[in-house]
Amino acid sequence: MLRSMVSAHRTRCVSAATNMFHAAEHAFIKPLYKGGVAAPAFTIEARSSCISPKQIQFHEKEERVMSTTILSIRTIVAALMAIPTVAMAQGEKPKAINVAIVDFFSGAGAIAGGPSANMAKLTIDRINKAGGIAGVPIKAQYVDEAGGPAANVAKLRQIAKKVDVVVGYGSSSDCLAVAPVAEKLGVPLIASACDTTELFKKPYKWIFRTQIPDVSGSVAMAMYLLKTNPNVKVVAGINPDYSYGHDAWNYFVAAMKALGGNVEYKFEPALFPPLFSGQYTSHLSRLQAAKPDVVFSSLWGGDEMAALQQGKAQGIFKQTKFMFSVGTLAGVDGLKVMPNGVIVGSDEGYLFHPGEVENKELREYIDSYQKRFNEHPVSAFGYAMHRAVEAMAAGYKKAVENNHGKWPSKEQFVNALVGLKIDTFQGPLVIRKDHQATFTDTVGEAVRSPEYPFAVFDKQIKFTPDLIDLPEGTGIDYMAWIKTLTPELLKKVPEPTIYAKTGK
Amino acid sequence: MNEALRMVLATVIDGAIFGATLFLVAVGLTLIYGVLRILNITHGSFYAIGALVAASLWGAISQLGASPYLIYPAMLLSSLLVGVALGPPLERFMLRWMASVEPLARRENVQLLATYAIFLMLENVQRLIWGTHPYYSAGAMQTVGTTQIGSLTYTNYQLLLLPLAAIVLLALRSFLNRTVTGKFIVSVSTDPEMSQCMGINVDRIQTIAFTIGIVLASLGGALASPSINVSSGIGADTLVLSFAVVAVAGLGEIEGSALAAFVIGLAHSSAVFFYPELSAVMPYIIMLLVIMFKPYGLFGKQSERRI
Repeated sequence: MLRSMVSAHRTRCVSAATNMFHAAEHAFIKPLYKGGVAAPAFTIEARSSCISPKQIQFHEKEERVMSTTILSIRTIVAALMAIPTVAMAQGEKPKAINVAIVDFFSGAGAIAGGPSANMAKLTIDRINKAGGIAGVPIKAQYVDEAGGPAANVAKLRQIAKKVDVVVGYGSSSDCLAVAPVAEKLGVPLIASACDTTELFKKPYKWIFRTQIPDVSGSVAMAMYLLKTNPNVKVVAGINPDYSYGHDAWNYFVAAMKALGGNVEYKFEPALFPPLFSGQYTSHLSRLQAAKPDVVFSSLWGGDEMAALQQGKAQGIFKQTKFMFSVGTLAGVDGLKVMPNGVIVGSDEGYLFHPGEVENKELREYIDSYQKRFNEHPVSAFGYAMHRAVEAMAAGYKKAVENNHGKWPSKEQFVNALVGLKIDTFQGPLVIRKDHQATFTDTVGEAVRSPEYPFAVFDKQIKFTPDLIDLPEGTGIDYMAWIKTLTPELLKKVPEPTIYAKTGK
Repeated sequence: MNEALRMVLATVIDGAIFGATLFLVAVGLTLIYGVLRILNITHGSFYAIGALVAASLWGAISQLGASPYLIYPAMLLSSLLVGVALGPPLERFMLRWMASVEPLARRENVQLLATYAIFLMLENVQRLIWGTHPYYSAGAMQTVGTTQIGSLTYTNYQLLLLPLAAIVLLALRSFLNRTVTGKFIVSVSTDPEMSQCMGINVDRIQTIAFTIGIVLASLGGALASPSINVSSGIGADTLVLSFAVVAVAGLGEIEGSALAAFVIGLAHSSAVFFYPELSAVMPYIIMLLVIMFKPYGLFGKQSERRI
């Protein structure tokens, strides 16, 4: 999610010139801290797997040779003769499915890319151990997303011929930059974590996304608040001053207004501290002075951590109810200081709850993650990567079945992805015709439980796709969609599950 | 306490707290400019290094289970060490060397580029040493408790920054006015050539002034560290704000920067309280207004340009 680093491009009027400077300065340097855990050993491996100058030379050479030979008559004849061979070759099983896993493996973003890479390794190893896909193992190469959109477009061009499918991308600006290029090159791309609403403004053939757009997260937060605290009247906001922060707040406000019906809410103050400012004294005092019923925040990563710690020092969590829409992204460290009673959105990750993890497969994942990486998988990034890899594997499996056991072409693979249904830790996932996946998002309230050394989440509500998912299609006006929501929809929202009582 | 009064009070306190750390950084910047005529971009790096060292020390103190109060002397000592260890070599071997090999480098714009280059290098050095993981030392802020003012809660740590900034201002002023070295610094900042003729070791005085400036930047970072999200590369934001303070006060103005830091802090907090959309740009709006009407800053004096 590193959602819209595109923020630097989509400058808001409120941010004016200096802010633009900061955004530009930071957008690609340190914006990517969304998680709280690093994967130190990973960086070296990831770097070593990036494209080397030698490889680039190889590609250039290959292309030159191609262009020369195409001109020769002999080759044309040979090519004509080769057509049936190629078709046959397509049906044969390759040695491996070559996958490029793209995420931030160096620089500031490694904090976000760490859990993501860990989960990719774990998931791929499990699939390969179980015999791969129709006997074909997945071979991953890890490509570093650091460097900004232009660098990512260049990297994609380099790897395009070498891989069967590209999975990943955390930053929305990178997604927006590489999607049209992947489309042109005909490379299947499964976007794992970027959730900008801009991605599917136009239809794509080769691009898919297994993450819900950010607008749904804001709607889920509004539904949770109205369901659990129906008497709320005054809502304040503290969100980072870039496009994601503004979007999260605006969608949330619109959803509250739509779902509240005739209730008049007061939305003030709406504070937008600069991204990565990390200093919230004045903002917290302002909130203390305003005494709102609840404070909505989409601060994440280091910013979220700083707000939690400073807020704790200033005692604001004892006075006001807070909600963090992407609260798990400060990682285990963030959850350690998360005060009880704070409402947290999972950002399509998994929210631990008091008692045992009920899903057996997830339990195994958590155990092996802990064993291998010595920490709990709390960050939503890891789960986003898990979904993307699982979807890819299931897509191949389906394509092989559709192709009567023969290995599918890239085209057959992407065709199989449309309408794909798989089980994930966030419930059943379906990839719609518009290439956007739908599944369940969860919101809960922080509590302490003896099983874990960090805050877990009770009173969880699972928001199924029928409640929060956008209408299907491309070029949707999200604000217009939110306005169509009605208070009646709240009746469909299930009651929160109380884990502490049931012990489940 | 009624609503309006509470808001005004909170605005003033927050503005003063914001201004206090800003002053520590800005006064170092202005001192270095006054004596060396260098707009020292590396200042931001030393703010960041001061903060990173302090946050690491807090981590060590918490891990060792030592008394949390140790962090306060540790912060002061570490800032001193950072300044003394890094300031003189940078000034002597980089800035002065550049000026000696290339007379053009004496020009302010070239020095500006040179210090910017060093700033970028130091950013990477920070990444190399501290990695990219943010550090948190908010615990240091919690050890001294809180004060309730109406419905508002302030940490005593942040309130204590106000007298501390005042002490630094007074100490700096009395050092400059009452000690021989201080008087030499004032003399060199007024006229380096004449000072040299009078027998003052200008090079040495410049090194001392540069080091004091760096210590102050590092101290600003160390004191701010518990209330910010400390990570490599945090110097840029503070540097830009410090420039705004220096521009509002006028280059080389020490008391002026104290007042300017307070004004900018107040502008920031009033924006947060009354017009949040402008909070990020408010300091620069103030700077713009001041420069429009008083190009040399509120307290700066116009001086002739030497050719």
